[in-house]
Parts: sequence; structure tokens; C-alpha cells
Amino acid sequence: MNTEEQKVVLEVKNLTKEFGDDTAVKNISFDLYDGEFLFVIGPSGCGKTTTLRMIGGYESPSSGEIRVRGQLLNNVPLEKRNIGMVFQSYALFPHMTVQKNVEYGLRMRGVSKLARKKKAAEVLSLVELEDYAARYPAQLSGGQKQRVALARVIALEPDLLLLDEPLANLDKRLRDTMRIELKKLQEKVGITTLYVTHDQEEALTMADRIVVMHDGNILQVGSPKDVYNDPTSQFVAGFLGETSSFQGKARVASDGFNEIVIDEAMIVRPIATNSFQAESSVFVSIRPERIKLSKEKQTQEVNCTTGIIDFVSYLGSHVFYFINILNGTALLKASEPIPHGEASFKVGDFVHAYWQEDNVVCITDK
Amino acid sequence: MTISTLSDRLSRYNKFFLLSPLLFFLIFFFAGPLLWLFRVSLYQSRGSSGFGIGGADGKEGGGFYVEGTWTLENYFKFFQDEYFRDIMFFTVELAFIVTVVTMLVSYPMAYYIYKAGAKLKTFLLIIVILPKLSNMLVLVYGLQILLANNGWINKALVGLNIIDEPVKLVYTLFSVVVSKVLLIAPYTILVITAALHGLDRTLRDAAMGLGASGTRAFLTITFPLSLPGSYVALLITIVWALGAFVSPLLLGNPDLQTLATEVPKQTFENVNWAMGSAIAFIILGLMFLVVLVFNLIIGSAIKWRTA
Repeated sequence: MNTEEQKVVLEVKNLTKEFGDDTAVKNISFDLYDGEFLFVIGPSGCGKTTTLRMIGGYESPSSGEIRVRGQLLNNVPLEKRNIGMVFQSYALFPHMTVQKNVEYGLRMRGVSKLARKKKAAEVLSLVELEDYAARYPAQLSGGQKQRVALARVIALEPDLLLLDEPLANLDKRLRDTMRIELKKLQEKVGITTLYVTHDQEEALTMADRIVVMHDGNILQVGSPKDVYNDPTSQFVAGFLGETSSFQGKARVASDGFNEIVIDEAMIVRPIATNSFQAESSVFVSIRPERIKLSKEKQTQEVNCTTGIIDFVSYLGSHVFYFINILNGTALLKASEPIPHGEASFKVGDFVHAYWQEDNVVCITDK
Repeated sequence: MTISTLSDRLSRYNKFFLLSPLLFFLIFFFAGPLLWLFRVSLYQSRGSSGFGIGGADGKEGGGFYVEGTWTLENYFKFFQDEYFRDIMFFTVELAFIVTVVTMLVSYPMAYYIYKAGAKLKTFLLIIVILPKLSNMLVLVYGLQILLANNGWINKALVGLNIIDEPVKLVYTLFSVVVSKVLLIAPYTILVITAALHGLDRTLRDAAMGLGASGTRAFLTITFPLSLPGSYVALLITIVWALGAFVSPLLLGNPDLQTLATEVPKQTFENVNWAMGSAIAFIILGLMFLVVLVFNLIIGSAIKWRTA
């Protein structure tokens, strides 16, 4: 989505937020394009919610700029920003019906009663709640409340929609359904959306682009595919999805290729375009689903290891193996799809693990 | 019987064990005497001081009431006699004024406490509770001194040339209302403060995010949502105000007497225990009426909660 010709809706520049001696957000910058669904993810306390609250106007930045469609928002009070925020708790007004909740923003903007009614009906049908207009929030399920909260801000046609962990209060099954619904709705309305979550699965399934934050910094920005396949830091590799990581030393093999030796026993060879300084420390990460297991020894000399299965996690559609490798000093995670429903290995089995060069991710910075 | 069923039975009753000291106290020292007084209110009075005896023994004119005279006479007399009716109307009038003033003082104060930072909040709460830590009589006598013709307030007003000579503040409706408000307001403030703190603060954020100014967010969200808790505060205030006793007694004048001050007057001065009891139950009746009306109002006002 982030093609050149697309308009920038939100521009965050050198944004910093200090709380006393704590710096919650450290000089971050990113752009959000028209119609884009951008995710800011990171563990609790990484500064993602503070960032969102600054954009929404619920916190004021210590320094830096927030611009929406070119207009500097730093000193624009919350109620004057045309930004819709959906809170984790939904924050529906309990003493108002769904209809009144949806009309609230329009009422505050002085929209006539007739126009309010029309708009409310429109957005309620958009979230498929037209039959619930007369109900009070207490009479709605979690998913319905969620949709009312969305309808309430969409009714204002905001420049930007902010979602703060909107699915966190729903149970797993509903969360999975709402994920799809939310994504479809976002596409249908075409609203530029910033979504904050700690749930990497939500980010991978819904995002156009992902901003990964850690400790107040932005570590990486990219499409789900980029961030998952080419993490640029140890943290990102570990935060999004499962991975096995190893610290090794780079060297040049006799055939001229770069390779990384881990614990003087396992040799990992990435694709040839990687180049390292000899003897430098390199961090290697391999996704479990890209590791193949076999009882027989493979022909390849590099990108393989042996180990004993330590634990088998049966997940129905696939199986997760935890394998003790390098004489028990390291753990390798491997997953295996099991359409037939049976795991191929059991605890205590001796296995050969191997993988392709292009499945190796090398990170040199840390 | 097995051990498990025995322990089941114990656990079913042990909540009553916990309650029993209080229940005992309430039954023997509150409910019992109350019922007995109600009985007294339904007899003809007999002019006895009644001290040291427990009923209509009939000996030498003793006893509180004339035996065998079941009658509603005391109640009829109350409502027929202009003297009592005036006192009742004044009691209701005073309760109304005190309630209005208390609520007008308490809600803003409670809201201010709610909005205050942690340190200021603690300080303000201590200020609110402080009058309740002193004896009620000390407080009322203190007010008497403060409001007297040569009290601080008059001296200050004269000293500042705002008035030429002291204004009569004490033994007026003003002093009665002020002291009654002072006695009730701490409870009202605490109840409203608690109600405000129970509100979800993100609702105000949400309202402002939807374009409401601070004032409109208060008027459309915070205030209506604080009403259920404020109704409770209002109810406490009215019931307390209806029972006004010390304030009119010590800071009022003969024209500013309430039903509550009339009870000991009838009982001990006129030695009319039956009438005193009847008036006590008329006060109770008024309070029940208020509670009843309030339950109806609150029920319809917060139907969104249970809807």
C-alpha cells in the first residue's frame, strides 16, 4: 500500500514523551498513508499506547511533531482533532442507547437531528447493528459493543481511526472472527487506521504495514511479510512468530562462501548475498516451520544438526517439536504439518534437522 | 448424620453467627424499644414521668398510658392541631432548605475532590472528615460562639465597615441551616465523591475525542452518570435533615422547632409519652415516604443499568 503516489495522512516526526525521568517514547518517526491499516506492535510498556494517545490528543508530546494532512496537531486540543479513537474498554456511554451513542459525536458537532439519524442508521447498518439501535450497552455482547464503538467514530468520518487493543477484551474465538470483520470493515470504509496491539498474530493477519516498537524505539517498519521473513533485529525475530535463535561466529569457508559456526559444531550457511566480517559475532534465526526433520542422515554438510526430541506439542493441525541440539546446550524448535493427524516423532527420538539456505536469517547489529 | 452434612449445616448458618452480636444489639436495644414505643403511641396517655417502670401498671396514677385504651387519638390530634401541623410543615420546609443547600455545597466540592491530584485529594478528604471527628455538640456550640452578636463574624463585618452594628445570626433560620448543613455535608460529599470515583474515566476521554468540550463532556456524561450515586447522597441528606434535632434546639428559636425537638418536649415536659411516641412515628413515617418515593425515582432514572 505504501506506494509513492499515496498521500500521507499522518506524519509523526521525532516524537518523544517523557514521564518524569522515564522516556516512554524516544524520538520516533513514521508516516501513515491514505487508507492504510498500520499496526504498532510491541510488548507492554514499549510506548505504543503512549504514542497512540499522543496522536489522539490524550497526552501531549514532550517534543516532536504530529501532523495530520499537513496540519500540525501538537497544540490542537483533543476535541478539535478529527481523529476517532476506539478504546480497549470500548468506553460506550452506558446511559445512552446505541443510537444515542452513535449520534453523540455528531450532536457535539451541531449536526441537525435529521442528519444525525440518517448517518447513525448508515453506520449502524455498516456494522450490521441496525436492529440494536434502541438497546443500551449493558444489553450488548462484547463483540456488539466493539462494533458500536467503531460505528460511533466512523459516523464522524475522521481523518484517522485509532484503535487501542480493540480485541483484547474478547474471548479467543470471537477475537478471530472480529479480526476478519474488522479488516473487511476497514477495507470497505477505506479509513486510514492506526492499530495498537501486543498481539503479533493480529498484526500479521490484518496489517498493511507493521511498526515494531521496543523500549520506546521503533525497531522496524514493514509489511507483515517483510517483518516476519526479514527481521532486522533479534527482538523483532523473536517477537513476531516462533523462532530458534543462535549466536555464532562468522567465517569464510574453503569454498569461498560465508558461513556462521555455532558452538563449533553447527554450521549455518545463509544465502550468498550475506557478507560478514570474519570472526564477527552473528545472530542466526530460523523459523520452526522451515526446518525439516528426518530419521536418516541427510547428504548436506551445512545447515543441519542432530538432536533428541525433548517435548512434543500436539496442536491438531500441526505438531511442535522442541529438540535438544548441540549436546543439550541449545534448543531448536521445529513444526510439522500433520494432515494425517499423527506426529512423526515422539519424545526421545533421535532426529536429523536440516533447512535451506534461504531460510536462514542473519542479524549482525546486536 | 455424617460429618460432612454437619459442617455443611454449620457453614450455612455461620454467616448468622457473624451477625449475631449486632442482631442481638439491634433487637434488644433498637427494635424492641421501638415497638414498645409504637404500642405506647396507640394508648391514651397517663401523666406519669414513667421513670423506673415499664408500662401501664395502673398503681397510683403511675405508668405511661391508660390500659385498655387502644386508640388512634394521638395521631388524629396531631393532624388536627394547628400547633403540630405547623411544626411538621416547618420540619419539612427546613429539611427542604437544608437538602438543597447541602447538595449545592456538596456536589461541587465532591467534584473538586474527584478532579484533584493525589496529595490535594487526601488533604481535602481530611478537611471534609475533620468536623465529624469532633463532638457534634462542640461543633454546634462552636458555631454559636462564632455567629454570636459579639462573635468573630460580626466583629469582622463591623471591623471592615461592611455593617454598622452586629447582625443577628445566631438563633435564626440561618444558623440552624448552617449548622445542619455542616453536620450532614461530610456524608453527602463522601458519598458523591465515591460515586464519581466509580465512573470510568475513559468515558470522558471518549466524549472529548468525539468532539465534546470539557463542559459538555461533564454535562452529558460525567454528571448524568454520577446521578445514581448522588441520589443516594440526596436520600441520606433528606432523611438526616428530617430528623434535625440539635441544630434547631441549640441554634434555633421557639419558632424554629422541629418534630424531633417536639418529641422530648411532649414526653418529658408535658409528660405525654403517648403523644411523644406518636410524633416519633410520624417522623419515621415521613422518612419512609421519602425512601419510597426515591426508590421509584431511582428505579426509573437508572433503568439503563439493569435494562
